[in-house]
Amino acid sequence: MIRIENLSHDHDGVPALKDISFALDPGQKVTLLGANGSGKSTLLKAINGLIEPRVGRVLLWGRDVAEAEKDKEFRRELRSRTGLLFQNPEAMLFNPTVREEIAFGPLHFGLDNVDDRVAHWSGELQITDLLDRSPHALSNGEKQRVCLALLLAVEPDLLLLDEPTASLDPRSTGWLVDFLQNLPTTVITSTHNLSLATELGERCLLLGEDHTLLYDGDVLALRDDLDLLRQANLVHIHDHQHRKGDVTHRHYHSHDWD
Amino acid sequence: MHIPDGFITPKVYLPAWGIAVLAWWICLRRTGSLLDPLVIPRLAVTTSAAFVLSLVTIPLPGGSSVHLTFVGLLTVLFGWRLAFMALSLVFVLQAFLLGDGGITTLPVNILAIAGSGVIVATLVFHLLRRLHLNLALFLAGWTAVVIPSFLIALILGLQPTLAHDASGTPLFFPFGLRVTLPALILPHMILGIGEGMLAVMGWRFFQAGSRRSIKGAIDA
Amino acid sequence: MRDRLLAVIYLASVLAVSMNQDVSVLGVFCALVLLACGRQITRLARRALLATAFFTGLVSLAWLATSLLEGTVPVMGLIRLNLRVFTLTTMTFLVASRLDILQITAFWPRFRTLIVLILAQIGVFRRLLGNLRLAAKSRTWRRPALKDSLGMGAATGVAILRRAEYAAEQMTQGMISRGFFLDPDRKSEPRS
Repeated sequence: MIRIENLSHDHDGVPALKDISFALDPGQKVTLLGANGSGKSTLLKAINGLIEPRVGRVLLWGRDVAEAEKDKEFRRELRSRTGLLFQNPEAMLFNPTVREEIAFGPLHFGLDNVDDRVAHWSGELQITDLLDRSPHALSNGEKQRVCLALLLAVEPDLLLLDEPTASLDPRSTGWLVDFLQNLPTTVITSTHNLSLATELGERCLLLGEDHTLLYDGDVLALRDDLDLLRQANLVHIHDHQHRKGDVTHRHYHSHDWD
Repeated sequence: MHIPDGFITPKVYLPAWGIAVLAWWICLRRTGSLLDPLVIPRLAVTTSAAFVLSLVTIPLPGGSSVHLTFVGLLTVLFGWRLAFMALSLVFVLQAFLLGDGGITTLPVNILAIAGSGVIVATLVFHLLRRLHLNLALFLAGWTAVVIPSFLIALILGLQPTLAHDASGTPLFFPFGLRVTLPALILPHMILGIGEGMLAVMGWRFFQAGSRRSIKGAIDA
Repeated sequence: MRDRLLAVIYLASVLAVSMNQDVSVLGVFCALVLLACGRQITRLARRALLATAFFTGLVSLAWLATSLLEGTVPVMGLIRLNLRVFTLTTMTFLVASRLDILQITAFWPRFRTLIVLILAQIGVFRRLLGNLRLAAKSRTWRRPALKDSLGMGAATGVAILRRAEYAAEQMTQGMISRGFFLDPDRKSEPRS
């Protein structure tokens, strides 16, 4: 379904991605793990066809997403079959009410039962009470739910989520993890939270601080590979002075609660 | 610099509404093509930024207060049509949300400040940009403030002549040109320096980014 | 419909107030406007006074001072001017609090989108401006000198422009990603 071939990109000469290759099957749930600045957002935007990589290509359903710029039909297909949740959900909101925001996609792409879709997805995401409010006036957590609802209302085949738990409280995060597991959609979720990665899917892609793909495989095996995690700046080592006794020791840490 | 409601006679503001509507119509007729994908968000954020920055005002002795107007910057970034519309929107918001300006003086403020500003800024920028880019930007920003202040002073200063009762008491703004011209133009010549610098800085920020990496589903 | 009727009444009243020169009629208009404010009377009147106090006050005082030098006092002129400014401004605030700009612009979706984005971004930039002011306050212990104030002003402008540029880029990508710039096609076959 997705093939990434030797993708490299930079922002005005500052490297963002280096020689990334992987492939994904339909329905797979994959976690994209990496420290801040490792290139997660750039990769997701490249898959969504928003930025054209300097080198390499992104193939969706066998077609290069770069073709979307010239091919109107493919462009329409790309926009309706993929959904990207931006790290800053505000960037996606441009309607006066949450109801119109969710209805926009289905109306725009000529889908049926628009009202039912709005009712269904606002119910699923527990935002029915917010339907008549301005999406811009909501809290960040609520905005994120609205954005998920507006993406899901189009029923995309591929969902790209950029740090979706960044402004969610622990209860909502737990709910989101369960919710995503039950979706039939292919999902790539980016995070810098190691413990969350183990819950989001079995397969994990690890982006290093050098912007290369350091690891592609089972997330539990990665969790135990401390050297690799340290290289990716996802755990760190420091001296500890415990209160009981005078023992000072060193061990690895991940700080997951941010 | 905005004139509040109640200082301008209908003899001036009614024809001004006519001209403003005409100017809007001309802009709207061509804006369909101008509102391309890269312009809507940019116009929106620039209008918003201009609105928020204009919340800071410096009071002036002699009858008015000064704002950053962003006329020069908006013009060189978006072209005169969109700049004119963005500034019109800023003025409408200022009038209705803040009571700065008003419904009767809206067309006067729009034509004198935004209208003359975008025309002057466009002319200066295009005449001088080949000579020296930063100088062209600075002078576009500067003249886009000074020329409008001259027009506003002219309109205010003519009120006592245009509208007074039998005894000669002014019905609207009470001072003539001898007061309004120096009271408005001199401070704006100084304020214009800030506007000019703003145009130079703003140009650099906006040119550095946005257009380089946005690709994909853009309908031509 | 209600919005349109309100707009027509408002425009007619504006014309009447600005064309009438009789102080007593202006007084009646002012009373009617205040009456129409209902419960919001103190809030709206206070906002109107604050919004126009500086300009109107300054003009009135200067007029009084220059007239006194000539040995006259333009009592009627001053009352007329102040009454008119106050009535018009209160009326504008009253209508602004009752009219829904998104309802009025519903006939042109792209323009309405622009308005939605502008209003949303104003909220964002206002918060930023507030934070920048607080940060400047937190780092200074006395009133800054003019030079420092100007520097802070420039930094504020630059910060807001930078944020604006970033917001514009993100927003453009967000809207492209959602297909906003594709031609809407509601006649196409529904996708199963």
